[in-house]
Amino acid sequence: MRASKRASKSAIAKRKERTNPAVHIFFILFGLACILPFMTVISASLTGETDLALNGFSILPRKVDTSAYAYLFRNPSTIIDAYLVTIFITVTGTLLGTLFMCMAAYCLARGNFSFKGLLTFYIFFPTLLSGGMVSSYIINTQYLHLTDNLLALILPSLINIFHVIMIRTFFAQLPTSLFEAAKMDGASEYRIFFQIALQLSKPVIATVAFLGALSRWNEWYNAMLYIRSDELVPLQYMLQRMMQSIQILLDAMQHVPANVDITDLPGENLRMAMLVVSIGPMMLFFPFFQKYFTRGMTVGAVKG
Amino acid sequence: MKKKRRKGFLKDNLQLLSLALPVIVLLAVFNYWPMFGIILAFKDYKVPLGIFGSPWSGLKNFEFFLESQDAFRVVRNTLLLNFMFILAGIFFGVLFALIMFEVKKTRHVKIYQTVAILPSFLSWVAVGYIVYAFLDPSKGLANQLLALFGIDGVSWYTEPAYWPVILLVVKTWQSVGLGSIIYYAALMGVDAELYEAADIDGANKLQKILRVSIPQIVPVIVIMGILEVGKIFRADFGLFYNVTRNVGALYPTTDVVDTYVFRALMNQGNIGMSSAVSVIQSVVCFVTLVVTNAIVRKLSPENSLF
Repeated sequence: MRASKRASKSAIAKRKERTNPAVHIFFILFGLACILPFMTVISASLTGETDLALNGFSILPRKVDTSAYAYLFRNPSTIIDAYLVTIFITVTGTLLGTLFMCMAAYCLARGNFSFKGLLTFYIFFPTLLSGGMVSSYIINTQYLHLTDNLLALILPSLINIFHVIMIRTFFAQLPTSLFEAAKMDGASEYRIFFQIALQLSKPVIATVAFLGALSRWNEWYNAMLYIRSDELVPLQYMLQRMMQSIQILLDAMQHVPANVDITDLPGENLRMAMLVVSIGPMMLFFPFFQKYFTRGMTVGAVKG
Repeated sequence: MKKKRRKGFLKDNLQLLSLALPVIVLLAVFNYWPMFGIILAFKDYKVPLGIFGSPWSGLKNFEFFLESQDAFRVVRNTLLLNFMFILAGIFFGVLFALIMFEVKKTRHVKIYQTVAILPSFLSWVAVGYIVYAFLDPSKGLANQLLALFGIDGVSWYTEPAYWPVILLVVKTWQSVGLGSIIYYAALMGVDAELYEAADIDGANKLQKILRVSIPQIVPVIVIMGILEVGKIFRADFGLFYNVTRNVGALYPTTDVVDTYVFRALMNQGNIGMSSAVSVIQSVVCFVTLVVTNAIVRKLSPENSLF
């Protein structure tokens, strides 16, 4: 009796809770606005260059032509190099950056640290005042000699101050009694950090690592400032250079077969194929980590 | 006993300090050192003499910028465009969150959020490509669409007048999914009893939105707005550089402080003037951040940055 009453009550609640169809229509339209541009790019990469020149871009390819991909993969060393550089800076930067940020955040969260106030100020102050891009550029090139060095893509962006604050906030919410108990048992600060603080903070560490990995994967700005050699160019900077000139990619691939009609040389479709190859894997991969992204947004907005 | 505790105290502090050391060093090199580099703006920089060895030049670098016609243009573009982005970000972010709040099934919310966030995963370089697929004068979808209605195509990349709107659309498209999450989270936190009470009073959907939902999230809106205003003098370089494809014809409406400094430094090699503009930007940013933060601290201390 009781159970059936409850069931019918929840059924009523459910019916009342049904989403208005207009809301679904809104999100389907917005979803299309998010997905159609990607389809346009994919379609362009699957269209022949003459077809593109004649008929323009389309959401679906009129006639599938994979010549751009064939061209791209005939000599894939350029893309492979760019992928390796991107993977290298993403992995190294994210691992080191996350570790260093956690280490500093731990100090900021520990009550027994005498320089807590001073260190908080020291870490926080650069968010208010920056030396500006010009003096950074001069120092990085003239004094630190980072020109054409992969370290230029790793070191300057290793620390994200807002992420340090985010981790600090999380550490500070862990029960202090845990730290004190470990202390009583004679554990060193290093041990408490690695075996207690880090172990209990996986959610925030995952969030920071994911956000850091995403921004490193998308790195092009520092590459544009500091990288000169073709083999040190990360994916997004390679795309950016191609935006200016398709010739760069054609040169890099170093072969224009003699028997190919010069008017049908890949151009726009090759550019778009390059875009698909460089963002495709990421677009499939990152949505699985979406929860870290949304969590980062809500946690990052509040100070600890 | 006391001595032993002091020894432990010293040891703890040394250990903690050593944990913080990498961040201390990295910030010293990449954040604090450049702050001292600000004096570059007052110097006639010569590479072999270095930042500190180069002769002083007084305010010459600043005069050069302030007397140029560009100064007014880049400052106006930066402030107006950023102000537009802030308003649109709040308006569409809240609207999006309100509509998302009407989706009752968690599974649907997840799907819609994932799709809406998709553009945020892209770099501005990739977004630049996508915009190009729309706006290329001969092949782009925009002109194809106009042709359907018998309207002549527009040469988008040479018409600065359209660009504030184009940039606004692109920026909103790219960021609204992510930007709405904070407001959505705020809506989720609203006490359900308020809605029940509104139901009892016979409020309709719109009334519930206007009288319950929005007033309840106004604090979040205000805080987000003020925090954004604090950054108003710093432009999103990637957006302005990549989406416009750095086309000179578009500078009248799209050139902002950050792109201007970049070109002055990288294309013209004008270290003096670019560093002067950079310094002006840093100082103005510092002041606006401190002022806006003071306001936030008054309104809601837990949201202030410091």
